[in-house]
Amino acid sequence: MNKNIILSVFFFTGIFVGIAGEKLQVDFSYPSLKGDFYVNGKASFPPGIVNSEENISIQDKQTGEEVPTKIIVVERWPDGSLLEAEILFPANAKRQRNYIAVCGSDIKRRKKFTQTAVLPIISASIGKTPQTTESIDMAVGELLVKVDKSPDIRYYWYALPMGILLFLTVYRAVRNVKG
Amino acid sequence: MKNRITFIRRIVQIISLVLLVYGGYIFKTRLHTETGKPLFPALKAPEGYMSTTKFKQGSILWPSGDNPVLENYPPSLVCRFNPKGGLFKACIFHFISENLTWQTHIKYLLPHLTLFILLCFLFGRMWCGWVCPIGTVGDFITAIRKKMNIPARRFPDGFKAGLRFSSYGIMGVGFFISGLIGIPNFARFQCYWFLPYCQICPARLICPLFGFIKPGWEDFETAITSMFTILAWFIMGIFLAAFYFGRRIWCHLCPVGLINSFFNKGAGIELKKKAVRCNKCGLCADACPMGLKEMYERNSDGVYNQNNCIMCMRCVEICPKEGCLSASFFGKKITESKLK
Repeated sequence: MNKNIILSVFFFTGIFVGIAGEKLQVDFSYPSLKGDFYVNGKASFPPGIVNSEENISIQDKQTGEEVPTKIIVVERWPDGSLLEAEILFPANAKRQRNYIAVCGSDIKRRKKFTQTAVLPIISASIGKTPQTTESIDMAVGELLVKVDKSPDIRYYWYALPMGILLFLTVYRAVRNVKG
Repeated sequence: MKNRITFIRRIVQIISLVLLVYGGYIFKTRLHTETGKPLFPALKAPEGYMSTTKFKQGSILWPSGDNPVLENYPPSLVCRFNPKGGLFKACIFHFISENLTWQTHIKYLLPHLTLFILLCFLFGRMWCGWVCPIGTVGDFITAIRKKMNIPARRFPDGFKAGLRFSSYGIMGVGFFISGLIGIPNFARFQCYWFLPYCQICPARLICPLFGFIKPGWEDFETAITSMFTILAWFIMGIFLAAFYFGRRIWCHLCPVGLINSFFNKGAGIELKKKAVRCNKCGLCADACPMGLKEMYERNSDGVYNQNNCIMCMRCVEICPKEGCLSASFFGKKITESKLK
């Protein structure tokens, strides 16, 4: 039974990890201006998925071409993996493209930049949490549930001899009283 | 030998006293276990809760020695306040009170209680008559009175019934207070009301003396500890007087004996009477240290394990009629009265 619980937990967490750990949708509205601008947003990751900012890359969704990015680590999980990173990449209002953030230990960022030009910045949501009016799906990463087999449970077995002894005591007492 | 059973009982009492008080030294290496899977789980006070091991020396609840070597082992038998090297953790009253306060999970209590019930199922209240160290001390006091040729005082049945009724009260109040101070809102009262009965039990004052240790008998630090100190001395007075004047009168009041007595009627050890052989001489009633008369009064055959009977078998020993009274263990005869 315990094994089944663990398997079930891994199955469900695996779905979330699959969605959140590999490709994150970058959502933003193209502004009414012309020319280049920066897209800026923060992305959150489950523990253990992204070890370094070098494991994140922004790609053109149609062509798969990598876009130069500037990534600043905001916070890390206790295991050292990235919890939150701020991502900045250039886009053009004229060439409207869709972008995705790809992350994972097998991803290597090749195009990056450090100095930013004076350009307008548009906020984006990266890996937006899927939600409906009733619920919010939160990716919590790999969830390890330890089911304690608790050796102390064996103490409950003492209830059996105790019950038998109590029953025998009462039975014998009644028999003795009745004679 | 004229008083063969009494002689054997005295030997058992002395051996039990030595074993219970000092037996820990003998069994320490064999039974003490910190590792592996003990049959009896360790029961310890949760963090922030009172434990007898945390009292300062000299306070009313200061245990006289280190933890008994069988800290994790059966409750039920002897006072917690026995000297260093004691064999068992505590009497059943201490055990239940302590764990009521600690709110120990029932699963950890089950092994301990099972063993206690097993002992009671096998021997009933025989513990009181044959093993209890306080009873042994009391019997010693009674023996002194006998040596001085002072006759034992007879107490009316109503008085004894009143004592038994009082022991129910002591048990109820003791457990109620112990449970109450276990509730987090009342936990601040633990420093005064922890183990309320133990604080006034004569065993707390007597047991440490076996280890040549001074018990905490003069704690007047606060009003409540003063009250307990005075009450303890008052009850100690009752204890001494009861054993001196009236043999085992104290055992009617003892709440530990009361708990044991619940199992007496169905116990493996049985006292039987063959009424047809009884000549109503009344010697059994006269000899009974608890002053019980049921064995004498009954006119039919049967097992007469009375609640208050401490199974000393004095009645069997004293009975002058061959086979009139007998003691058996699960139907197998151990001894019977002999023609005198």
